[in-house]
Amino acid sequence: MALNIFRKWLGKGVSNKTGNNEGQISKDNQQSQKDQTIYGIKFRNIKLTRNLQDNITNIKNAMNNNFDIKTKEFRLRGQEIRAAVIYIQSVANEDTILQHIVNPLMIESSLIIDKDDPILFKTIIESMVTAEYVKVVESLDEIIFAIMSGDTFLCIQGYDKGFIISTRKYVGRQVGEPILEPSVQGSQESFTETIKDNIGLIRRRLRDPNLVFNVHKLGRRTQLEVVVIYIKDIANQNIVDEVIRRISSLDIEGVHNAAQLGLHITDSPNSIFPLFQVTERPDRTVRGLMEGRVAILVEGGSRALLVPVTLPLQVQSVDDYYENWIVGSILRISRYIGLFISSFLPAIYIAVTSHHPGMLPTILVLTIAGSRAGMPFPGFLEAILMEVTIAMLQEASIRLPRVVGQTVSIVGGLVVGQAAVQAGIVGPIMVIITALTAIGSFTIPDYSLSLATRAIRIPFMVLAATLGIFGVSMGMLLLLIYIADLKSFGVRYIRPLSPYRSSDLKQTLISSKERSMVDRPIFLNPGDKQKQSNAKRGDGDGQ
Amino acid sequence: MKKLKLSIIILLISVCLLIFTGCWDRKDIEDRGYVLGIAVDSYTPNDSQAKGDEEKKQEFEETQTAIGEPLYEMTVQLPIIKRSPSLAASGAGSSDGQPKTWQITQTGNDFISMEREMESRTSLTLYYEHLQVLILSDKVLKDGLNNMIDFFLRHREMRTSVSLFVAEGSAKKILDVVPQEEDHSSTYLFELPINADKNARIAYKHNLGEAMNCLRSGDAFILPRVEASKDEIKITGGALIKDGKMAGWADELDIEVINILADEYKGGTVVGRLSGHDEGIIVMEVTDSKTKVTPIIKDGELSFDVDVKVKGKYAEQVGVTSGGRVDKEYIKECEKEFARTIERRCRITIEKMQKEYNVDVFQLSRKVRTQKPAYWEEVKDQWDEIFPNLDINVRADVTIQLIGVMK
Repeated sequence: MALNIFRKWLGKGVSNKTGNNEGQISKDNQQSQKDQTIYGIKFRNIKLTRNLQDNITNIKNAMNNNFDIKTKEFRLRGQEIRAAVIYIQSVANEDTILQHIVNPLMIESSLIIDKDDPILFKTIIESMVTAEYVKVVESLDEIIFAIMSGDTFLCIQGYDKGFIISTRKYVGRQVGEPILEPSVQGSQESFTETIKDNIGLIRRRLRDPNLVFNVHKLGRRTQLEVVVIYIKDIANQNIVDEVIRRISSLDIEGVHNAAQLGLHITDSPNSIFPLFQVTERPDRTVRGLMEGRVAILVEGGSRALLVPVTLPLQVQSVDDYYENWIVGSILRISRYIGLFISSFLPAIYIAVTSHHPGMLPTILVLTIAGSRAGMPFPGFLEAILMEVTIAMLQEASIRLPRVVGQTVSIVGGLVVGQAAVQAGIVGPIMVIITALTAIGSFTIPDYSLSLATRAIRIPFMVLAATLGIFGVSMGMLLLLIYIADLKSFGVRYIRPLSPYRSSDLKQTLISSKERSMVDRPIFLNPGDKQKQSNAKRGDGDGQ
Repeated sequence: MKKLKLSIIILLISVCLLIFTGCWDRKDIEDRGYVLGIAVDSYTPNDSQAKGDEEKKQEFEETQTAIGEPLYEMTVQLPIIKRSPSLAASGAGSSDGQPKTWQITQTGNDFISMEREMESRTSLTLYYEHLQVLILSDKVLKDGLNNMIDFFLRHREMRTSVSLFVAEGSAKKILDVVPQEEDHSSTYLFELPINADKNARIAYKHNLGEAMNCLRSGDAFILPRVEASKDEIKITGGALIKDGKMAGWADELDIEVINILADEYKGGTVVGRLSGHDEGIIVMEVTDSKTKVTPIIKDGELSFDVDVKVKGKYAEQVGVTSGGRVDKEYIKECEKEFARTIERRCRITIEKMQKEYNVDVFQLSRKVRTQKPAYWEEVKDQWDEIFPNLDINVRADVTIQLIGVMK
């Protein structure tokens, strides 16, 4: 099934329709978009000629005669018909070409083809070429795009038409373990860079004929496939249309992964909160699809994009659903605490110590004061210093090759933590605060969200240093107004916290009993509202 | 247009934030001097015997007064927060033998000037939100609490939870105590009354807020009295305050009775003597108690019924040979004896307060005011004449719930 659909869009390219009238609109959009691509501008109007040699020269010239463009000329056996295949060595599968195209045409053609076969073309397609997919083409743009994608072009002397035969080679790594979103109980598979495998990973988890793959080609130069995936009878059609509209109205040079695409189609490009969810987990993607969300895959990107997204959804992890609902809720609440700590703890510490030491118990005040006695920097500067250090450490540990990565943690932990305190540059309490903040940010499952908390941390620290707790609470108020205003594909970012709906809240804020979650969260306006039967387990049928 | 509007709003909010907030007093936590305790003495002229450094110090303590002569001596206690290299990682602490607190004394006739004068002697900004105890000397109290308490009530940083204590003689000496366990005498003193639920001889309410209430309503009250040795402080009885002035001392047994009548009898022991056991005494440990004070007006005469319901454990017997048999009758007998003891104790103290001091420390005036307002309107000006002759009937009812574990 997956292969069929895949084949279909390999050949048809952009013309895949959803069957609705908006499919028509998107097709028009794509038409105009295609005109702007490299292929469209240059080669749209160039057609094949009847002369084989001219055709070969034209095509090779169009691709600048690069060394990896291979041409094999041959004769259909026993006949005076010359033919040639053109392909790019590095992206086409040469074995397939030899076995399924050249071999049958050169060796077996004599058994089948008459010299004056009027339906030579039909014979070749239907009786000879055993490759997966064959298409008849005549204009240069299609041919070049196909060759660039790894397909093979078969050209025959005397015809102003040719064949595109699918021979794409997929070089990519194996399905690996999730690195960014590890899970204890969840599946240990993550998306790879090959879109075909990725679709397979989703298909394997969701055998639903209503699962729709809507294919687009994106990028003036890259022309990579972007696949919009949704379950037709669950996903809200308005959201699906909006996603398709935004993708097809894009006129960009190209994107290479899901997050990049997300930034192009997000509602507010200035929002520091990620209004789309990037995941490398097929199981999370499938869960999102079943919630009525839309997934987007990009060829060459090892992540899926899930939209729309809300803040509570970003705090969820797949592990929540593999545990008892009480345990799951505790896990999730601890993540909310982590989110809070990561955003506000340094600010609150600065505010309390430099403005309102009266809010702390006496002994604690004396302990903190004792640890800070003789410190050269005020608390605020100290916090900024540590914040910068942590940010650099985190960045360094990502950038460094894994082999030397150990050094970072040793240097960071020992030098910054221990030595700075002993040298009397940074107070030990500040080290604890910084460490807690970092740990808090690591609990957030969404990497972009955890970066967002870092972005709001420093403004809050400034507010705390100038205005104390008053400033922090004012800042929180403004932040709340701001995030309440954010929307992700028409869905409010803080739904279902506001507008309030208790039954949705039960499933998102805390983890609910899997068996009691009969209805889908209503805030995505799903089509099929019920997830499972309402009947209690063990209810007899005879009743 | 919409963006312009938004940016104007944001600008307005941020300007308002900056202008209308009182939070500009940013000061790092280690730059503040945390005043843990204050002692107030009445002014005594300098001892001319002092020599050298001592003399200089006394010179510092004198504040030049603009008007009038110095009346008071205020001592504040600051913790010494030192960062020693060896303890850098473990935070606060100073090595043994060195003082852990610093007492700054200043004289003057108003407290705010004294406080400001102290600021010229310390590099820290004095900060009172962690003030725990306020110790007043009896001389100051005899001059009148009303006269001097205003600074402490008005100060923005002082809280109503500050504990008040009275010291006989010098209040400053209490702060000079170097306690065995705590680092600072103020925290030590602050935590002493924690055991009030084990020992009924500690006055129950003694914080600034409560004192302020009583001063405003004109009710009499007690403040715990403290005495100090070199390294120990003890709460011994209390000072009776009437009309903002000290009227006398109450001993520890009096405090117990005052607590009983205030329905704050949280613990402690009752000792009784059974007939037939000449030397022996029996002891009860109070676990729970409920006191109801009812004003009764009969033929225009006011009297009070005090019902004390005490529950407790039979805790100990000394010199009693009950033969190890503790049966129902024996317990009944004990209960009666304990009730008699409580009633007797109450009578003694009530009479002492009525006749000797004429201080309504039981705050009976409050009961009349709230429960018989019409009558109170008639008598409120003559309460001093009425109180000593009041008929106060104490009835105690003791229940022994447990008799302990016999091995």
